[in-house]
Amino acid sequence: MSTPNHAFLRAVEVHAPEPRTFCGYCGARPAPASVSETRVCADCGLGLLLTTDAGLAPAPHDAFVVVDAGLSVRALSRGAETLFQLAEIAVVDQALDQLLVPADTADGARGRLHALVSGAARAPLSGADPEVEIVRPARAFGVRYRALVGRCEPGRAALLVLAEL
Amino acid sequence: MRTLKTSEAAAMLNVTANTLRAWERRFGYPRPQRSQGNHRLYTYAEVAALREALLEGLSISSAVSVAREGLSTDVHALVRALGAFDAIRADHALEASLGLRSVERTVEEVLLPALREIHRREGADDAHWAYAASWAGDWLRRARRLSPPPSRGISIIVGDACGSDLDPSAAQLRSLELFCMRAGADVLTLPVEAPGGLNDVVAAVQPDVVVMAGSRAGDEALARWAYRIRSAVGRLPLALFHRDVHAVGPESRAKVLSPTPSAAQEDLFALVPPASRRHRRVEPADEVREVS
Repeated sequence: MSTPNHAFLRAVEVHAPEPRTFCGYCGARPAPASVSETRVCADCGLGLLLTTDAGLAPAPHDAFVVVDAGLSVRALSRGAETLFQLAEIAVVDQALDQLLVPADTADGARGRLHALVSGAARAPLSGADPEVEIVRPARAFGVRYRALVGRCEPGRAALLVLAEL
Repeated sequence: MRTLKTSEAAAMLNVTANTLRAWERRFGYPRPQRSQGNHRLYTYAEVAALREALLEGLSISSAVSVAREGLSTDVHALVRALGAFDAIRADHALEASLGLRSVERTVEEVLLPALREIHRREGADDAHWAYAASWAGDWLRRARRLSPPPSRGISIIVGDACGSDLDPSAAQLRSLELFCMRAGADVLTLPVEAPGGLNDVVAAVQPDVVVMAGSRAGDEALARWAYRIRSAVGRLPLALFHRDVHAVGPESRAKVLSPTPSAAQEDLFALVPPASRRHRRVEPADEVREVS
């Protein structure tokens, strides 16, 4: 008796893209071998090397912000310094609200942004697509950015990569 | 106090010497002292604190902030000790700082900020402030006694217009005196309320520069003292420290010194032309020593 020739549906392992390492200041992507123990960027010397999902990793010169789970700003890229006309040392330790707020003025928009960022900071690196939110600078109107939001390491942190709309 | 050369500090942080200098410009940290040959000397504790902070940090700025916070515990320890009227604990807090910092940095980064905090919190008419100000004046005078003998050929007369240690600028003035003495100057301080006999003082001291400091004494007392000094020595560089310029008049061309004692000491030495400095042979024992 021959074995019936069934077609099987086989579970296959999904290979998420490898997380990417980038400089939290200049956005450079170093070769893995060049990452030192203290993670200082060998290109600019002014940022620490961070890790995020491949779909969110910023390109050199991109504007981006790193926020911790308590919604305090922990890093500002060179591109974001230019965008906001602010130095990183002036905004580190400040609340995200001092820098960015939702473009949406509806009730609850700010709470939704907080929940999104805080949730991203606590989620694992998964290779999932980043969330999208429209934001504006806290002290400016008429300017809006599309923010891609996702997890960033080390520690519990969220990365917001900004692009002008 | 353990110090590191630039190359040693850079190796400890896995960065280049250029990066370390860039951090000094951008973040003001780590802040090196200078050796006698004008080379950078980093405090081991500052570099070690930064290394720890970098390992878990998300940016250099946030790591610097964490490292600074860790080192500022000495200020809190001193504030708590003085708040408990405990001179022994206060002495220990400064001794702990002297293990990490030079005398000048201990004064400017621990002692003076602690006094500012107590003054801000309690006000000038409070026993806590009176105790803290008195203890600080005493500590600074003790530190002066451990200074090396004069070696720079610079002689300074200070007109003390602070009135007492309770004046918030008194600790600043005591610090300036200490820094000048540690840098090799001969410093004599007199209250501006006692202008008699200044001719004798000037003849004995032969000052190169005169400083008037503090805001407690009135303009009249200060102007009288300044006049007596001018009459005795003729034209000399005149400087003001923690004092408004109107007391001696704009025509006096008095130099207003920087408010921080270390910067004021540099301002003051720059007022003395090199030609007027009396040359004295510097014995090895005269080299600046750390108080520990």
